[in-house]
Amino acid sequence: MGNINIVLGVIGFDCHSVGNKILEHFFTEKGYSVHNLGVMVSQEEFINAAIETAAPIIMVSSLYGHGEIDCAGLREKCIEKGLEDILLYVGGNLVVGKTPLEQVESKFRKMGYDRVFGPDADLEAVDSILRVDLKEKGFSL
Amino acid sequence: MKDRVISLDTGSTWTKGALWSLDGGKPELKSYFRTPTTTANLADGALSVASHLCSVSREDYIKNHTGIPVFWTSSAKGGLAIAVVGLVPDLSVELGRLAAWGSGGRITKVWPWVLTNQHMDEIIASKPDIILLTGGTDGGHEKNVIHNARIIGESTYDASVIYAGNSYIASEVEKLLETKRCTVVPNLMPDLGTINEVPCQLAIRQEFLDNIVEGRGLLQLVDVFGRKPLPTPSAMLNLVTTINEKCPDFGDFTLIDMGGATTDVYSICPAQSDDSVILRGITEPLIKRSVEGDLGMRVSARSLWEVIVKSMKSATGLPSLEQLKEWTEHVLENTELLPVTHTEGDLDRILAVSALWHSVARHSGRIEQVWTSNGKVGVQRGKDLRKIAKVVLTGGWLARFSNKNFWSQAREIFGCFENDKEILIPEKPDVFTDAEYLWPLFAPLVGEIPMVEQAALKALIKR
Ligand code: B12
Repeated sequence: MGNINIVLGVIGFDCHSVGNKILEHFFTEKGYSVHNLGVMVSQEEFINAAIETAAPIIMVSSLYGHGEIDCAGLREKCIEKGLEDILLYVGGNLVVGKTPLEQVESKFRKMGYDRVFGPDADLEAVDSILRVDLKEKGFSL
Repeated sequence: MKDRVISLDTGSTWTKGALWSLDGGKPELKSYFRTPTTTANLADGALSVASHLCSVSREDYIKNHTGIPVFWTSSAKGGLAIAVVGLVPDLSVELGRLAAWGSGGRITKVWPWVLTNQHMDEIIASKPDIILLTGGTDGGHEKNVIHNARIIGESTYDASVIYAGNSYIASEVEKLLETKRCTVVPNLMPDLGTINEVPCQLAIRQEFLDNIVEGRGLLQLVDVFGRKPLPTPSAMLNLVTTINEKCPDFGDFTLIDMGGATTDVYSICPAQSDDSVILRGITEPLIKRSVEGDLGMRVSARSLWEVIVKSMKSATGLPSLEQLKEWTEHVLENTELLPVTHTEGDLDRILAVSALWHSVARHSGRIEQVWTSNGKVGVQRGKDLRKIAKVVLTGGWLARFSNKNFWSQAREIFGCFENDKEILIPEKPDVFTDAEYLWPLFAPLVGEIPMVEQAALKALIKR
């Protein structure tokens, strides 16, 4: 399955790097080709990387509380660049303070993200969901 | 007679040659000769240089080979013309540009994303010797790259194509380019942001040797000298590379080769010098070459003037812009002109300082300080040359007229910031000059005779 590319990174001016390394390690172990852009990644960089690698999914992290501002508009830009079918996953501490996950989820869904995860997301569960989503997009795993 | 060799360079304003003795192991200069390049038939000038160095008549030289080997380079037609077609401007396209420059090429046209027939016509009109087609990591993007290959394949383009993109679709691309002379090499960007430039550069050079040496008397020269030429800048890259490998004490350096039409910059240093900054975009190669086609002392004087006007920060102690403008128009019409009066010398010096600064500034990366909620963080793009301690200047003009204030004067006029971004130009380099303008003549000898690199360093004068 080495041919499924994942583009991964922490968006905006966010420097939290620990979770990002864990995600890279986890999904690499699961057999994906992970292209980790690291921290402080702009929307354009996510998109450019997804184009060159033909990744069917971008995984965005936001930990420092500015997720709402940083993540808005990524879906629109993807469409603009011909990536209308790409899966967008987002996770981390997406908003400031203790907002219930359902509220956060609906906010980010409206912004065009396919899946929204909190800081306690179980990565095994994320992988299962991803496999289903990829299959639906026509990728054979 | 293997104790003597000749090196020779043709194609630029002057055709120059040197006779070297190898008695002491190291090449030692015996004589030097140059003549204006005979553009209609390069063999004319080159053969008069070679025969002059051997102290025989041209006819004798051609008839009875003197037995002294001639290693030579050519920058005919302004060098190897390459068009780059890739996918994302910041990624595969940028790497394509770096690879083209890094193999001694001159870029005629760059096209990202999707080619149309109209773009293809523009590329053909720019008359490249090679189209370098890139795009996609291995196992990555396919669609646009295949489309671009098809457009090239179906066009009337009749020179060669080098494919250095997504290797998973190499055979498909090769098929689409069946009717062209197509070479497939391993991907320039096998992984996102990483550069694998060597196979691509070797293919470009091979293409030059196999197919581009023709016309304007070059074939006659191949016949008389018994050897094919290297492209001039690719020989210079060989020299720079061997200095880096064999003379580690010399350390990291930047070489600036300034001519009448273009200024070439070579940097030999790692991409990043400060671990605390975050590097974004591609990681540029240890040995990088860039070419500025609008920065030159004569043929490009007008475009240089325009760059100066837009970028000057301080004008204290400088001649007026009007004077400078007049001088540039004057030298444009007399491209072999050298300054005579004191004022002319000053004007020419400003042109040189400006071309020097801008060519290095464009070659260098930028750091932007970003305020995050955790304080300031530096974000770097491109290559960091700040810690480079040595700058080497070559090219006719710099060899003759540069002085030690060059660097500080340039810094004063143009400054190290572009908006809020710091330009990662060498901070406090020592300036070395190739005062006798011998580096282009050391360059063809690299790999042919021993200790060229030591001799080249010895020829430098610290200003
Ligand atoms: C260490 C740390 C820092 C370090 C970071 C060092 C580094 N190089 O990473 C430093 C000191 C620099 C720092 C700075 C800041 N921090 Co801080 N930091 C933390 C801390 C204590 C731990 C983060 C961590 O490493 N966690 C461990 C990793 C494994 O977990 P994770 O990052 O959450 O990632 C996992 C999940 O979130 C999930 N996940 C993440 N992304 C995605 C994406 C997808 C698609 C999926 C499926 C899953 C997923 O999977 C990951 C792996 O398991 C947290 C508090 C905490 N306990 O979480 C605060 C915390 C994240 N920081 C916070 C803040 C506010 C800041 C600062 C803005 C201010 C400050 N004064 O501290 C600055 C911001 C700097 C910047 N520009 O980014 C807040 C964020 C508040 C919010 N979002 O509401 C937190 C939550 C602390 C708090 N409770 O207030 N911080």
